[in-house]
Amino acid sequence: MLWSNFKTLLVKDIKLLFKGGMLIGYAFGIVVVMCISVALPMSKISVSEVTVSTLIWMVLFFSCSEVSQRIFLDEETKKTADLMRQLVPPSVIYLSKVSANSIFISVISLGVSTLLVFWFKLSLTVLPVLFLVMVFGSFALGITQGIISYLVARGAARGSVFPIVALPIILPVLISLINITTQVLESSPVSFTLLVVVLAQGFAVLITGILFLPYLEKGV
Amino acid sequence: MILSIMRIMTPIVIIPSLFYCILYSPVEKVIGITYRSIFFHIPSAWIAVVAFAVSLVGSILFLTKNDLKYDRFAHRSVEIGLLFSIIATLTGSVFAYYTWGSAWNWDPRETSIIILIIMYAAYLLLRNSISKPKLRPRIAAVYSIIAFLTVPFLVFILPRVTSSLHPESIGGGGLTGGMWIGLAGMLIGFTLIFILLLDLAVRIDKGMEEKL
Amino acid sequence: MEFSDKEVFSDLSVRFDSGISVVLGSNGSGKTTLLRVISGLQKQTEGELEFVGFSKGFETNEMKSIFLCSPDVSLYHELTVVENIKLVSNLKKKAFPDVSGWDIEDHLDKKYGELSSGYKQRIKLIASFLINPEVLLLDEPEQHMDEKGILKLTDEIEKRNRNGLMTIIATNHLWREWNVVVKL
Repeated sequence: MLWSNFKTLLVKDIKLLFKGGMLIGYAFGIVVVMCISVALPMSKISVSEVTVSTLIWMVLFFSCSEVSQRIFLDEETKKTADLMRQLVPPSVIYLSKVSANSIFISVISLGVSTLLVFWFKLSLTVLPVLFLVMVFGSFALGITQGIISYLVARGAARGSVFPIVALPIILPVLISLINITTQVLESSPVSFTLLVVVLAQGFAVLITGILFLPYLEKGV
Repeated sequence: MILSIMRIMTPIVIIPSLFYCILYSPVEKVIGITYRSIFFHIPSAWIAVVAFAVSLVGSILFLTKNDLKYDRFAHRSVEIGLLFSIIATLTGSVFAYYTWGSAWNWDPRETSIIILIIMYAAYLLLRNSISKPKLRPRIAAVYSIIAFLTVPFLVFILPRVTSSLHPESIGGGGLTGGMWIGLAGMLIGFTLIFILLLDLAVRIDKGMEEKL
Repeated sequence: MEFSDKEVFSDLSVRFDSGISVVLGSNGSGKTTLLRVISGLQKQTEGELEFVGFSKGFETNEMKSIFLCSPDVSLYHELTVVENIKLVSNLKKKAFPDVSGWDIEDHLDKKYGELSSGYKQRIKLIASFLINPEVLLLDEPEQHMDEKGILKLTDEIEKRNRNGLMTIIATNHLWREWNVVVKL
């Protein structure tokens, strides 16, 4: 019952994400990342791998903020939140939203990483590892931004608060991701401990959400 | 009862410890007396982590028991934790300036504490920006729980996976017996101060709410 | 009870029995707040709410068999009418409903957001009757609807009544001889 409801909601959330003109923010983000990470090396200024990976994740974070911030807020402002509240338990709504968000960010980051491999003329052998890092990173990023988006939307807090509140929570994940991506770009051995840290943080936030978000729905 | 004993104990512990640490604690062989800032630095950092942990526990209790008393603990504990994180950062910077040559080095522990400060400052920001008063403490509580999830990473993992200038990362604290005594006294003293401060802040909150 | 920190009413004691009940009141009298409290979307500041004689687990179950259809509850503007109805029917494990009589056949493939208010209201009502909860709360269901629509709406409400289900309607004017339980 819950599982099939989750699937139905996930399909709906993905449809909404791809329909509502949200791609524009992303496209813009990708263009910025690509322009900077490509233009600089080509103009003979040597750019370190650290700079490139920092840029990738920071721009990904901010361009995803735009969308993540709206996944819950749109439901409140368009008055569909009360419809869903009456039909499905809050944890299912939350799970489907953050999953849709993670899938969306993964799609974007996979595109970015494919382009990177070509621009940097990396050997294709790094591609699987890079994809793995991007998918894990998107998962942690999607979930963490998702839960902050829920808190901001539920409390009807000012929207400008979102990136300020979300960034410090995600920074540990971002630092790990930047470190790993740098290792991948340098073709040096990848620290799997950091990758586990990223995954662990994603799961920890996911479970916290399932456990504690119902308290924000009941009896208020 | 326990609190009254603590009120008497605090000056008894902290004043002799202060005198001992500043005037009589043994001089370090390599860096001389500048190391004495650790008598403030380590206890403040310790209290910061304790305060954030108290906020975590208060938040979980508030959500499950739905009693505003726990929210007051969670909220005020974050504020006190922030205060001590700033003290830890400043004392650390003084130490860094005299021993490593510059006040800020982007050492992993410095990065960690600055992230902690931003994160819990964001807690206060989020709390104040919520326009639904009934949901304010609940949302803040969930945020505090998520924020604490990153503490293990910042305190234990980050300094170990990246190279650090901090003593425990480059092998051995190098503290001798006399230094440990001073540090223990300061740790106990700071913990007592934290408990009393938290109690005071919570009682002020409670009084204000009753007055309204 | 409060809405946005403003006291809407106090000292209210109402009992709704099975069948059709009407809450009559002018704008801003607190009809919506009352229905929101019954539906569980909002919590009353004081007082109690009791459900008597419903199937076991009605109250303890997180997903109570209550549904509120009000101007504050909307379907998805970006999805088409069919997609919206399918979403609700999938979530409730129901078959796609018979929509004849609602006069919407030409609009099924349009986006919900592009419909006129009257049609939006129709789709919302179709969804509400599809959910078919034990207690259906309708907040001004007749608004934006033409005569034909209101006739169909009345039909559906009467049908629920015959099936032994409870319906509570909040409105500012009565268009049918129903039992007015409370005037706000």
